[in-house]
Amino acid sequence: MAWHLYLVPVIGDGSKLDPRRPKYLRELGVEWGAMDYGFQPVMLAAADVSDAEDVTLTAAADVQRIPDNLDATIGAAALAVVQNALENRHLPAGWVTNGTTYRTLLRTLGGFFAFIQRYATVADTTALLFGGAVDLNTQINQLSAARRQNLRDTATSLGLDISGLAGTTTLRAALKTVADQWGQRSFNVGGITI
Amino acid sequence: MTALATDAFTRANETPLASPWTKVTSEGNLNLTSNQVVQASGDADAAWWYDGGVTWPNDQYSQAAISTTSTFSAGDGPGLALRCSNSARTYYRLIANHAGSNNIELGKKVAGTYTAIWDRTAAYTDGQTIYIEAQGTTIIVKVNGSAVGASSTDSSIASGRPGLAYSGEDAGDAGAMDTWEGGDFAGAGGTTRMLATLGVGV
Repeated sequence: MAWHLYLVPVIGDGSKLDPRRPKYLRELGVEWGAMDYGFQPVMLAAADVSDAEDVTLTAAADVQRIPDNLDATIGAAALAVVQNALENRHLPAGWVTNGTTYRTLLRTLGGFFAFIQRYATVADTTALLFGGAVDLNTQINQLSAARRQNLRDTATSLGLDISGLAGTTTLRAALKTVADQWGQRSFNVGGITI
Repeated sequence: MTALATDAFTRANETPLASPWTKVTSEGNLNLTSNQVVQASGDADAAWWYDGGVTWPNDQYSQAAISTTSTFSAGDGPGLALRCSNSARTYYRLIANHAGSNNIELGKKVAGTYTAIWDRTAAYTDGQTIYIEAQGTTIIVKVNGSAVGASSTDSSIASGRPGLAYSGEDAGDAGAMDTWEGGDFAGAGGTTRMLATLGVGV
């Protein structure tokens, strides 16, 4: 058994009998841990799995296996795969380069995740921020006044400075700005320290 | 660690649990029966926080002695609540049961929707204490004084009040909570800061 990291879809409707959780992992009966992107349908998850279970998870079309060596650079061959995997899940990826390490990538994702997690609580809503007409290229001034206020309140709640953001700032740029302020903080997911 | 409130539940039955305990919005009931806190109905979630005039700091802990008379399914059983909102159905929750694996579950309810954060295994004996603390975005869980795996990070809930929780399963499964304590870390932190100010290493 060994701990590995995966980017996985969320299953469950959040009810008592069907909690929101990372797809596949709870059903394997292994120890696992996860960090959600608020109510967006993706989680960064870690699981203590056998080699066979790791192979099965890695083979799943909706799972992205994160390399075990987090200090390795992404490299040219995997760059497009990584960027597409992130963008398809409403995670900004334009800043990722060949030389970015997986640890830097995941710590930056930690900033995105922290902001969207807090947004859901501040807004007291399970409504998705991204989806429908809203994507990473949506400008802040294209959001409803209530959503703009909730985003401001979220930044305040986390102690982040958003004075540099304008109405024409895209959500892509806004998220990267707050993640940069969040910084390269180390954190644990399951049994893995990132 | 400094205890800001305790409750041994040694008093007459309360149906449901009465002041200084307050139910999280839209959650199920807990009862005080035979000097312990138990679920009021089989298949329901419950979360109650301790008021008692305490101004709860954001960094806080909650602990209680628990017992379970059956194994329950993953994520069901008696437990603790942390950073409970007084206006929304939002709080962190730690649940324990006697299942052979993944018997401890950390999760959160935000706007009424429950998300599991992790499942881990840590055996305990009835009457032992389970513990959860949140300092900033770091959450630590202990069973009988020993950490259950590494700390975890979650940013959803910044503040609130500590208390008790229960994820009921059915009438055949039963658990109880007793000897609750909630508190903060200001005492130790204050001492550390004071010694640092005086130039004394700690």
